[in-house]
Amino acid sequence: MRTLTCAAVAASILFSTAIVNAHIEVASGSAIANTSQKITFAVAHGCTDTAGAKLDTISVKIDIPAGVTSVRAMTSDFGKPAATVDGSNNVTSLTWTKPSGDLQTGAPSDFQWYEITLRARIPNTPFTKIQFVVTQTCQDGVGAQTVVVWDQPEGSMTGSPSPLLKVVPPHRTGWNKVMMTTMIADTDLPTYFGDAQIVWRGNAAYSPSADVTALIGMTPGVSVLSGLIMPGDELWVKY
Amino acid sequence: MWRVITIAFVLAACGDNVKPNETGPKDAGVDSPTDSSAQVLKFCLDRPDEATKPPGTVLPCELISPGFTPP
Repeated sequence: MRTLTCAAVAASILFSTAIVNAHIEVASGSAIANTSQKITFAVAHGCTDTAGAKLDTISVKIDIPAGVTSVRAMTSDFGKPAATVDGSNNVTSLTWTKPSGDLQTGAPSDFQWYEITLRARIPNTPFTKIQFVVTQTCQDGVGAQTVVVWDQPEGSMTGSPSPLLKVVPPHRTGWNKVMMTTMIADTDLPTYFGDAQIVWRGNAAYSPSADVTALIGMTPGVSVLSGLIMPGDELWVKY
Repeated sequence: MWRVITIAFVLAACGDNVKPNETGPKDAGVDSPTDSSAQVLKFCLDRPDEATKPPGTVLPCELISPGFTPP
């Protein structure tokens, strides 16, 4: 029974690692709410065709979510971007496609790391994650294409997960008073306060540092911040 | 002459010492078992500009929230 359990745990670790490595992800870190800033996406690998061959990426299309405005795209490893717009001339998607002559078709063909960057205004929605749907197209040496759509929301156990952009409130080095406008759980604290020194609500504290967390636990009168952080809660955050 | 200079130097160096009756500032660490950590935290709040020291066994003053209320 123990052997079976260990095998299951090992398999789950292997599986989860493969999923993590497969992501197209936001490589530029958290975004500041209600500001314009650059967002960089990392394309860590190409596609696998039905025969199991690894293919280089020829094109990446990013759909712009509602609320993300003032979009400006940068030229990337794939060359100049192409944009689609809505009736109000707002950018709704961006596509970067490189010339087929630049495809890696030798052996190996899928070994490059790509980054693509755009600049946009982030909505004023701190403590949320913005989902970007990305369509990745790969191509082999004879022009056959494989398409992967990264469109699954967080937590989905099937398909390809979308890159998520974490939105945090504006802050400066030192103490910041944050009035919560949305509910988050204590399990979200590392996501939104991963670069803070310490976060307080009343006499309860959280720190992403294991050493500081230990001190929190040893300080009389101080408890570990846990449970739900509700709208209207006042936090003191030191960066 | 060199003896005079040496003595003056030693006296000047000793002049930096804390006076025996002076209670030096503490970090939030507990220096003696009789200290109340709550009182030490209050010390942090009373003197927020106190020079920071490496953490001891409780949170250092610099990490105590401005909104902290001593128990």
